[in-house]
Amino acid sequence: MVALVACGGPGSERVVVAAGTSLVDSGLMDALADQYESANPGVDVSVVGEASAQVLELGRRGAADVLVTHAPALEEAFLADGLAELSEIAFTSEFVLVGPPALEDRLRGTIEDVLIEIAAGELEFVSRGDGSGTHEREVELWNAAGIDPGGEPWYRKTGQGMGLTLIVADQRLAITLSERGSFVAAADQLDLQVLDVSAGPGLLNPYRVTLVVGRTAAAADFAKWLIDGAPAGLSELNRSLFDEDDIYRPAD
Amino acid sequence: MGFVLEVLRDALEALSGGLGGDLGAVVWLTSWIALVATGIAVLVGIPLGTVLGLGEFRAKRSITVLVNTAMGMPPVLAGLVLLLLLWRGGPFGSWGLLFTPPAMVLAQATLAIPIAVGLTAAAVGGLPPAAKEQLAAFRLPRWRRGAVAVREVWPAVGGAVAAAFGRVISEVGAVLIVGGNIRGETRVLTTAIVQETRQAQFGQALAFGFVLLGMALVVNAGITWLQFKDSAQ
Repeated sequence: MVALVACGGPGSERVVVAAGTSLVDSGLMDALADQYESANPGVDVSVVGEASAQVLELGRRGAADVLVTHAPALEEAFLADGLAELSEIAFTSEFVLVGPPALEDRLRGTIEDVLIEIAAGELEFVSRGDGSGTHEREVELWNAAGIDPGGEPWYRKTGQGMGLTLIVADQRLAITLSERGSFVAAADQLDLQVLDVSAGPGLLNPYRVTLVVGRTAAAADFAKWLIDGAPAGLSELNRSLFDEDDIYRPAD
Repeated sequence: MGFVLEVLRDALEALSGGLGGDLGAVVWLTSWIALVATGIAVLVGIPLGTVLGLGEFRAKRSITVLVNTAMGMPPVLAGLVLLLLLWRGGPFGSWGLLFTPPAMVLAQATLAIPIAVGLTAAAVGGLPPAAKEQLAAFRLPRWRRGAVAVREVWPAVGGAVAAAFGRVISEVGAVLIVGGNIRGETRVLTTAIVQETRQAQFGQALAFGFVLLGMALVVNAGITWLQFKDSAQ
């Protein structure tokens, strides 16, 4: 009923896709929705941007049909509860550590070494501090480096999406962890630079597309397209959105 | 219904913990930011509103239109403009105010001043013509005449103060943009509600909402008491 009232045109069907804020802030999710809508005029794809934990919660409560998340540990629990009809890693990007240009020379090397240097030097670090995939990863990286930054005076939490967190880090001359696409989308307004941290598996960022059980045929079709059809067009989208080739890549 | 009751129970549970930890810091920051911003709005807005309401000058109508428009100023627009002004490298960037409580006070005062001006002007401007003539006949300095007029319509001016406070305490768009919702530094009740809702912590979000309503109730009860106390004389 609600879907019928809220949808765009007569006879069009609404699919609600909830995605991590990094994907929405980078512009990729809207671009994908536009692409699908122009090929399927009868379908209205509504994009909601939330932290991955909340995206999964929306799926759990039946408020979203298709979920795009990048928080493996949280996804595992969702899948274990049998709430997914279809779920696959569809594409990947990577995380980057960004900071003020003045720290570029000081902060380079492996991610562990750089995090240890940040903690030792008490350099201001801005954390998402929400249930996002980016924040989950950040916590894992601190753990791997043997540091517990919680409660330290140089460690700040915004509890907000990727875009606002990047702005706070930029204005406070601080360091933050960002998904590459949302950083590049905002980069020309910011002084932040990508720090030269050697990319290991710890900075890989896989996006999982999940179709919640018991959804409409239109929702299922959109989810299948995200997994099978959309990845082939990613390099073209990378160029049109970011003027770069390889921000988002098809999953292997 | 079960879902709502469950959230309500979570909210009460969160409140039963008292004002310890994060909640205390959030309530404290919310209170002082709202009080300072309302104070600024009162100190600036009531005199300006009195001048606008009592004065006779050419631009009176155009200024009234501008003030009334500013009363409906979208908070996110005020936040955006302040963000640009306070941006490092921007016109006032060297003040270093962005993402600090003073920036939030500035944002809220910007939104509340037009309300104090507009409602005060409407209140004193609404004095009956006879009262205005009488007032003009007093051989008093202008500011004293203004003070007498404000006192005459005090319950309505008290309403202006309450409206300014209501705008400030419930506002979320502007303080999120210029404050950044930084834990322990710029997180206030409204931005905390947004965040907890986004993270599906509905009970915690609702608990913050109850505290917010409680604060509004206390302040408005105080203002109303002042209104009645004076109008009874």
